[in-house]
Amino acid sequence: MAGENDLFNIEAGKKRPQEEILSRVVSSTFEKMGFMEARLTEEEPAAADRICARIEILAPFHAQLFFSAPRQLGWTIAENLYGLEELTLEAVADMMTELLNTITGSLLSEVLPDQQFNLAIPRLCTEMPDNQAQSYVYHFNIDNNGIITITLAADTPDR
Amino acid sequence: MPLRILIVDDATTARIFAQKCLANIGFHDADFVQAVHGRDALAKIREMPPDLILTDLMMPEMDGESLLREIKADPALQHIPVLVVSSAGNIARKDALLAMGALNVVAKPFSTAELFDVLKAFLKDEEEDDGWGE
Repeated sequence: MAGENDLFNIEAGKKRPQEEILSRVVSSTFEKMGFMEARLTEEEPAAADRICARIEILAPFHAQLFFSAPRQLGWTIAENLYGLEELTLEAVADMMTELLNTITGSLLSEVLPDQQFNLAIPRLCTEMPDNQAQSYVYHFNIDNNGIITITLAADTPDR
Repeated sequence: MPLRILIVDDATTARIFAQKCLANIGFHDADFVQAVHGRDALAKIREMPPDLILTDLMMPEMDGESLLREIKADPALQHIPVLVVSSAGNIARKDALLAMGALNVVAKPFSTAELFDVLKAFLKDEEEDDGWGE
């Protein structure tokens, strides 16, 4: 039976769990869906004017993934997917939640091979998790257009 | 007459992405129809049966597995190829979905090339049957 530690296991010499797998999954998702390069970075993103989505892992354990991007980068990624003529705020929101859903599914399938898991429907959220006991933050530079943040959080606070 | 392809996914992004990939691999002249969940899809299928269905698995109202089951249980619809496209987690169900009659099961994110690989036999059959794609 899979446990939370399967996802939050930190490899020797690493500061964060599943860093290589998450990096590969995020790169692949942006390359295939957004035709953009995503590169793990230590750069800190600008704090202001970001949009955020979250998804809850319901089984085989509880955890959450958060995805935030500068508003302008969100529109740029959505432009790549939709084309300019169809772009609306609703489209950007849908793009954010679908990317997060895809990233989470791919990540879990690599961490928990051949096991089923259950995800809640991803939603936009108003804020990223603050310093929770067990949360890990990963930044990715997207085509030098801005930095997105993926946060892996072990608990399930109400938001 | 152009092929009619039904794309079923509750995420607009996923529907648009799938349509773009299909257009890129040779379905550019197809008549694309979209549905947001299985129940919506069934209504559109019964109104005018498509030549190919791409469906997500996890959707509100009626999920993709229930949609596949309904299609394969209906003698009037069971010939329609159904490609299941889903978040990788559900790929653990691949064998069961194939046994239910799915044409294939593809994990998100997929590339145009990956979609072409799973649909090339279907494309070839269509070209031979109708001269479509010439």
